[in-house]
Amino acid sequence: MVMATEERAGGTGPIGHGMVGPGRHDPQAVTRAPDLTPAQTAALRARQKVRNRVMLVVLLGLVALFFAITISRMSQVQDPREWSRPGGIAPVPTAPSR
Amino acid sequence: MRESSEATLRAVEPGLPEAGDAAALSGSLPADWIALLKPRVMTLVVFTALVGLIVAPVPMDPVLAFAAILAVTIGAGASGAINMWYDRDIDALMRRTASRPIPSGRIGADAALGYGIALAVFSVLLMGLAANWVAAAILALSIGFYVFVYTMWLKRRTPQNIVIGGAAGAFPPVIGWAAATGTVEAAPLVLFAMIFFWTPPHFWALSLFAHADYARAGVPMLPVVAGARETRRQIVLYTALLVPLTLAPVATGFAGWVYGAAAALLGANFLRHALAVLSEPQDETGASRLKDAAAKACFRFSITYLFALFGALAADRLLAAAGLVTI
Repeated sequence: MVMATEERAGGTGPIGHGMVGPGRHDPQAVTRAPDLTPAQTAALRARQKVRNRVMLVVLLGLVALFFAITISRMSQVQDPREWSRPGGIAPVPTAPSR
Repeated sequence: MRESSEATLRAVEPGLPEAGDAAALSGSLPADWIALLKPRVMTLVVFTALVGLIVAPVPMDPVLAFAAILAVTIGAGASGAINMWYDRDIDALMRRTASRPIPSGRIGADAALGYGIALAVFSVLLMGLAANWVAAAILALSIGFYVFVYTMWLKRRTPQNIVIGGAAGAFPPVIGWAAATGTVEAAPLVLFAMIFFWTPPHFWALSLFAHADYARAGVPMLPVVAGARETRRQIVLYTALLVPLTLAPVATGFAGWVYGAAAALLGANFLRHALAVLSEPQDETGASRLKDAAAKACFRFSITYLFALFGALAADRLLAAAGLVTI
């Protein structure tokens, strides 16, 4: 069974996650990282918390940035109807000058 | 079969950190992701882009100008992140770069690459939306030039790597100008040329006192390939080409006497530093007998020089716009 699986996977080499001995590959293998000590777990959680807070600030910053860009771009257009997409709002016919 | 599974459960996947590697297991800090953007390089890029935007004849909405400069900042950072991903092997060999986030194991190589690509795409889109697509295209070109032409093609192949690759760092004022005007004219191309000719003496001064690092990593910087003596000559040559070029904005009527006086004084000082590098006491191979004091001073001054030169150009244009001086 193992032999057949290895042959299908192309023989030896670290193709997937599992390793059975040096250079042997088992695609059904389950591997996991080594256990963390309590101190390492606490350090990991602390860093995750910092990263999450930074991500929150970045996302809020992006919201503010794109809001500001939108307002600035809109303020450059004199007639808001120029923002309409084709077919959205009919173009305003300009009166012929006399 | 059961025997096989038990053996597999005991196996540890190659590449996973060892249990004792606390730094790698506890992950990265935001500071590591910022370090990946090469913030010190970024400051010069941002400043020159800002000057390009200020000296452009078309005023720009402050919010959109901020967004455009932010796009240049992110684009420059993205280039730095991709550069660090590609150069992670040689970074690990050089003392100056061994503590960077990837070689030190604080950030994975794939994560750094994904981060760099995502930021690069975002910066180009942001520039296009906030300013215009001409500026966005030039920003994309500068990122591509830095990553593909400098980092992947030239850096490890030729001692002219920073001469040609230096063009990537010369794009920011052109991007700033294009963000404001939507076009590229002669004036921003002069600013481009100024940074282009400034880059070799700046980097070669650095490589004179960091050549051992470059030699260890196999990067063919000029002192490694042609020797220190030739590098000193090239520093003087490029500085001598740079100084008259910095007076071109005055000659073409693009800048006034405020900038002209500053450019002349700064240029004379830069030339003095370059000549000091050339005439520094050396052994028969051209290696310094004074621990490269002149090269270090020249490198430090080159940074001040570019900030001051572009600062003077911006000041000149702002004073002219306020009617305090005439161009």
